[in-house]
Amino acid sequence: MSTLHPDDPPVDQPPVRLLLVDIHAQSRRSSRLMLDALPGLLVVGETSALVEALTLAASEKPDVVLLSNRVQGSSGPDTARAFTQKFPAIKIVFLTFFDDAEYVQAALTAGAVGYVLKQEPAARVQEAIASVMKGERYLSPGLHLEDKT
Amino acid sequence: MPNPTHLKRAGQIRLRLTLLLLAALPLFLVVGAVVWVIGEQANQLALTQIEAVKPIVMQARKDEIEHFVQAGRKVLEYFCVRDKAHPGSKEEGRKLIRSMEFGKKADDNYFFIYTMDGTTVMHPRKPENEGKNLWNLQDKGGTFVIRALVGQAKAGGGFVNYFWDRPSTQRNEPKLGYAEYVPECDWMIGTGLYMDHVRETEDIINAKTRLQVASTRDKILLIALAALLLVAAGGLLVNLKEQRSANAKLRAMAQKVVESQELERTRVARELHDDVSQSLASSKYIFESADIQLERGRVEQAASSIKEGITQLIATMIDVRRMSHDLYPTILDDAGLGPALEQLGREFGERTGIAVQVAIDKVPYIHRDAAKALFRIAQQALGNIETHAQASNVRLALRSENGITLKVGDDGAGFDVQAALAQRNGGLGLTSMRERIEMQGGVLDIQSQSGLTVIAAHLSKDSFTS
Repeated sequence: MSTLHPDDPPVDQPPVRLLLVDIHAQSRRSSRLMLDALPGLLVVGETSALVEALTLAASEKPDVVLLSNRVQGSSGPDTARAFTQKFPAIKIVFLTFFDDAEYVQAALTAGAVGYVLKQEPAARVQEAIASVMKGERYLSPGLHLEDKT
Repeated sequence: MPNPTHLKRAGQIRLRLTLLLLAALPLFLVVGAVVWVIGEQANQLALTQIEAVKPIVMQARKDEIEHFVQAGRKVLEYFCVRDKAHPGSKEEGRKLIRSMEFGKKADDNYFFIYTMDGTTVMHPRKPENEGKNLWNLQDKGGTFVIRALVGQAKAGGGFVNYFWDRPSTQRNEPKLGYAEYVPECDWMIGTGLYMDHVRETEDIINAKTRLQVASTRDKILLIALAALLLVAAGGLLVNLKEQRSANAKLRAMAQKVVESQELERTRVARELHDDVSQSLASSKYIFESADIQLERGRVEQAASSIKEGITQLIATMIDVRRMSHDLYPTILDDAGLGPALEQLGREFGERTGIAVQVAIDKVPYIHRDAAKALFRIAQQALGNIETHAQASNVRLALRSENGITLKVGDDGAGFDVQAALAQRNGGLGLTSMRERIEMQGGVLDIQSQSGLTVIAAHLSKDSFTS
């Protein structure tokens, strides 16, 4: 961080630790680029596979897992379930461009507390992470979902 | 103008007609033979029947005339005896006998009376002879007719064969006469039967036989006709069944077309969603990163992000172009099959890193559907190589000897051709490749072993120009 920005959180507050799980390398790369650019966030690991994600979670102790719907050797919701079982303290946020209600429902049922669409501005990711860190649930405004929970 | 389908249908109809005739001809031959045999046998039967019946008829007739003569003799006897007490009775008896006729052809059936020295006492059909002595009368066979009859009468009654004028036909015909002596009158009474009359019985038997033969023949023909109708109905039924199964096949094919269309759409939708949307979302994040970095004054990072975003967008453009080519190769219409295949090979090489050798002969005019079929086959074959073959060299060739042959070869793992073709979903798309080329009147040949797989689609000259 070379220069401070008015939006930046106070320097004394530690950055939110993020684990990025996405089957597509290209997708991971762009998300990483974007997350690195945003202040107050720290990507502590990234992977395409469930097993490695669990290992990284144990070693890197992320606050939030950013999960895509496609995960190697599993699926987004199944990965979310595995995390809520093993690491109930880690917040699960889906970062995906699947906007169908079924996908959102499956994610929330599996234990996710946030659902962010990649179609929306990058700032939504920041908002989502801030919300879930406060213990709130966050759904992308673009989802237009009836709240079924 | 007859199109090939019509010609084909006409040919099928001719074939069916031939088959029907082939089935009907033996039937007709057998029926003809049966009718002939039955006719022959009936004629034989009639002959033996006649041979058997002839003596019986003859005997019956002989008995008949003998009995009539006996009756006539009794009549004369009565009148001649009575004449002694009542003169004129004998003349009355003569008159009575003259009026006595019998049988169906009464003209031919009459009595005659002669004296024992041959003078005609009474002859109803030749009254001019009465009073004349015919002792020396000879027929055309040389028989002394009256002498012989008198002789037989004297001997106690008997038959004589001779020729006499037959009243009903006015012809001199063979006759069997019978005469008896009437001592009370000293006359001889007789009658006879014309032999042709007996022969007429044969004719009746013959006519009846012919009638029976005709009736039998008609019955057999009727049965044959029924059999023929049955054969025709059977043929029609088979035909209908065939048509129904052909229709079912057509429906199944249409269903398959719809299914494959649906499959293709699903594939395209997935590719659009997974690849293109994903890529665009990625690009968006990269440019957003640049935006954030600029806002925060990190110009160098932003510049690098923008460059990365552009690279990403170019990759997406290439993806979209490939998808579009996959969907429909516009170059096929614009430049023809050769350039289209060259482009296909080049893009395949660029995408997969597999070395591609493309060899295209100068091809003659080839109509759009045939070109499209060959292009799709090449596309499918390359797709298979990309997904399954683990090949390092691919050869794509279009040859124009004896028509057009497209060959796609690779040095990959190979596969079991029979097993792949037997797969229900038409494994590796081989079935659809084959269907495509067969629809154009061509053939597909697949050879595969480890290290060399060649898929060849061949169209003969007349199948791609018309």
